[in-house]
Amino acid sequence: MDNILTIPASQTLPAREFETLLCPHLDFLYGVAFRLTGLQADAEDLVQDVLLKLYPKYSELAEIEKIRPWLVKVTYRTFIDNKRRYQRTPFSLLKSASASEETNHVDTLASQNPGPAQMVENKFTSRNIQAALNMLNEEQKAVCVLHDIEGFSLPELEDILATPLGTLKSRLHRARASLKKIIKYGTF
Amino acid sequence: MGCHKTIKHLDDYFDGSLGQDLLNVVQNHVNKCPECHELFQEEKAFRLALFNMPAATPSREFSEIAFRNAAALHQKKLRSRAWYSMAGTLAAGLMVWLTTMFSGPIMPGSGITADITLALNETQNIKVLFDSPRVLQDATLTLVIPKELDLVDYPDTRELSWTADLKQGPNMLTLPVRAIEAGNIVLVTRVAHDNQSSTQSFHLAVRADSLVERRLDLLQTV
Ligand SMILES: [Zn+2]
Repeated sequence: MDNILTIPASQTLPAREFETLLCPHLDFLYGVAFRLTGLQADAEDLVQDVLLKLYPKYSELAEIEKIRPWLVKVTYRTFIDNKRRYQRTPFSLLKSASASEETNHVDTLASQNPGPAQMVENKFTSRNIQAALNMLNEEQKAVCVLHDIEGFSLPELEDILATPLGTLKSRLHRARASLKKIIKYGTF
Repeated sequence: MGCHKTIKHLDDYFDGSLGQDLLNVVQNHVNKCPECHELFQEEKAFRLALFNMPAATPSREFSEIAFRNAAALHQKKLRSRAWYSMAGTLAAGLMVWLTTMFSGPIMPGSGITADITLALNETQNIKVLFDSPRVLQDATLTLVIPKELDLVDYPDTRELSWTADLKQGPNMLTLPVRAIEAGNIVLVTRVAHDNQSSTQSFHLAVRADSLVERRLDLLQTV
């Protein structure tokens, strides 16, 4: 018997289903992307890349029970892939020059003397934390963002970040220590 | 417990991964030692600050644009896969024919125009038969639809690509179409697989006359 082929259901249909499925998670996804990239434009690019990656799989998405950890996994992988691709291009040189200008407000922290605990606590503003996060490497940033900010458990992150628990723990420890150092002294 | 050990345990303390005994020991030390107490308060403030980081939210327009782009870029990607990245033609032997209910198979190419008759604005099925010499997993099928025809459910879509698995032997694709205007038309089908592709053009004449016998079957060589 002939194999029966059909044209896909009208594109507007999967597009609508896809949107219905992911719309409730878009703000969350963007929030994670923003923490990872540190810039609105980069966060938007990252989310766009993730949506493009997921679009052909929209029917599979509907089957996934816990979609958020799964979405974060795709987002993190895309973030790392983009970073690697980007680092191979000469654009990264231009960007790193301008990135140091963007983090100037952290540098201003360095000139201030670290004071008593109360003063240090006042430095833990969202703005300072985000600026400090931007100075961590991708792996440390991811575990800190996903565990301490987004609240994923370490066992969940074992799967999301494809990294063993012990490594995650020490990475997280180093990430927090670096963050505090950057916020207090403006550098590692 | 000394200061050094207490400080070492602070991370686990706030992660909630210390056993009750150790937890008590750390707490007792922190309550008595001003230096560790200060570090404890600092760590607590730091964790709270992280936990309370306000979520960054995208603009309203971004959501709309992002979803629209995902659909559009997906189509574009499929198209470019089907049209631009082909190193060679698909293995000899893939045949494609067009057929309709009332005509014999219509061969592609050769410049011969096959007569098909469609009543204006009436839906009819054109059948495209892909006779494949082997299994083609994840082949990209593309249709280029002339302006005189509309694919049902795809009004104004002039090009449509999607992926499908072709089995060895005949694979039948049914295209529900509607004639928008009469004229000589070219319907193009393309099969792309593994950097190779096969394109066929079918020359057809659409006669917008419902009284004429409807002939509408087509064949393609891939
Ligand atoms: Zn102490």
